[in-house]
Amino acid sequence: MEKVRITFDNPSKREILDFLDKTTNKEGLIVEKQNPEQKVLTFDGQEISLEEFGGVKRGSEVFIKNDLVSLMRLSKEQ
Amino acid sequence: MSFLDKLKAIFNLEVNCPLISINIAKNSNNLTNKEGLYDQAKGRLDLYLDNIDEVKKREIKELIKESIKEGNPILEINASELLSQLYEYNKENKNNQTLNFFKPIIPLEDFEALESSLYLREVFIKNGDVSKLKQDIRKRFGDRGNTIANLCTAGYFEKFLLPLYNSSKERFKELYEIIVAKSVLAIFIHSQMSQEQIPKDITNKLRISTKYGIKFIHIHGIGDYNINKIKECLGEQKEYFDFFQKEIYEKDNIIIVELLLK
Repeated sequence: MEKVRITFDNPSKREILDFLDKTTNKEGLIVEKQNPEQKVLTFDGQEISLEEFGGVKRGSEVFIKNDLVSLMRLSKEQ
Repeated sequence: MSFLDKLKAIFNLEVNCPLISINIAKNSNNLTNKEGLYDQAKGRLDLYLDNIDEVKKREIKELIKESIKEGNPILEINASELLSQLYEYNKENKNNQTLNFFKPIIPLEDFEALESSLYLREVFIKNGDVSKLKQDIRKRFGDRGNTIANLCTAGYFEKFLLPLYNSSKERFKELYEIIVAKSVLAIFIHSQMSQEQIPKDITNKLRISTKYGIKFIHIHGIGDYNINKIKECLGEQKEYFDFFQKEIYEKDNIIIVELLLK
C-alpha cells in the first residue's frame, strides 16, 4: 500500500473532528460527540482544545497537540 | 484497494504522478470551484471541503477512519511539517551529548524543556522563526521553561552548568534550582521590557545570587531594538553600572554585557 501523508489545514479542524465523531464542549475542549461528558485526551494524558488540536496518531485515535513539546515526544516515540 | 485507489474512485481522479500528500482544506479565499487541486511539484492534492458534497464527505470520513486504523496519522499541516523537521533533527543526533549529560541530573520536566529548547536553538542558529516554538515551551513549562529556553539558547547549559557539575556535584545541586527557577545568571531583554526595569531586575537577581556566592550577572539582548535599549540604559544609568566591572561583547546583532561585582 502506498504511504500517503494525510494533512488538514487549520480552518478544517472542526470538520476533521466531526469526521472522527468528536466535537467541542462549552470550554472549547474536544469531547466525544455521542458522550459530551467524556473529554478526549492526548497521548500524554492531557485535555485538548480545538485550538491545540494537531492531529491523530497512527494506529489508534490518540490525539496530538500542535506544539513543539508534544511533537518532540511523538518524534522520539516512533 | 489502497487508500489512494479509493480516493481516486471517490473523486474520479486521474493522478499518474507520485502522490506524496493529501491535504484537506477549506477554500478560504475562494481559490477554486473545483473539489481538489493537484500540485505536481509538491506531489500534493488539496481537497476543498466547501466544494465537496455531503455524500463524498461521508466517504472521505470513512476513508480517513480506516486509514488511521491501518497505521497512518492525520496531522494539521503545520504540525506535520514540524514533525518532519523533528525527525530530520533527531537523525542528526546533534545535541545528544548535552541531552545524555543532563538527563540523569535534572528533573524530567526540565529535561523535556531542554530537549525542546535545543531544537529551538538549532532553528535560531539557522535564522528561523522561533517565536511559536518559544511560546510552546512557555505554555507547557511556564516561566521555568522560558528560562531554560533562554539559558539554553545562550549556551549556559554547556558553558556553565556542565562544567559546574563536573567541578562539583554538590555545588551544582545547590545552584541548579536557583539558576533555573530564578534565572539569576542572566537577564534576557525583550521588546516589552522597559529600560527602567533592567537595573531593578539586576538588583533583585543579585540579591539572591550573591547569597550563593555568584558574583556576576549577564545582560543578553538580540536585535537592534534590544541592543539599543541596553546601550542607552548603560549610558543613562552610568552611576548604577559603575558599581560593576563591566565587559561588553557584541557580534552578529547579539550583545552580552557581563557585570562583575567589584
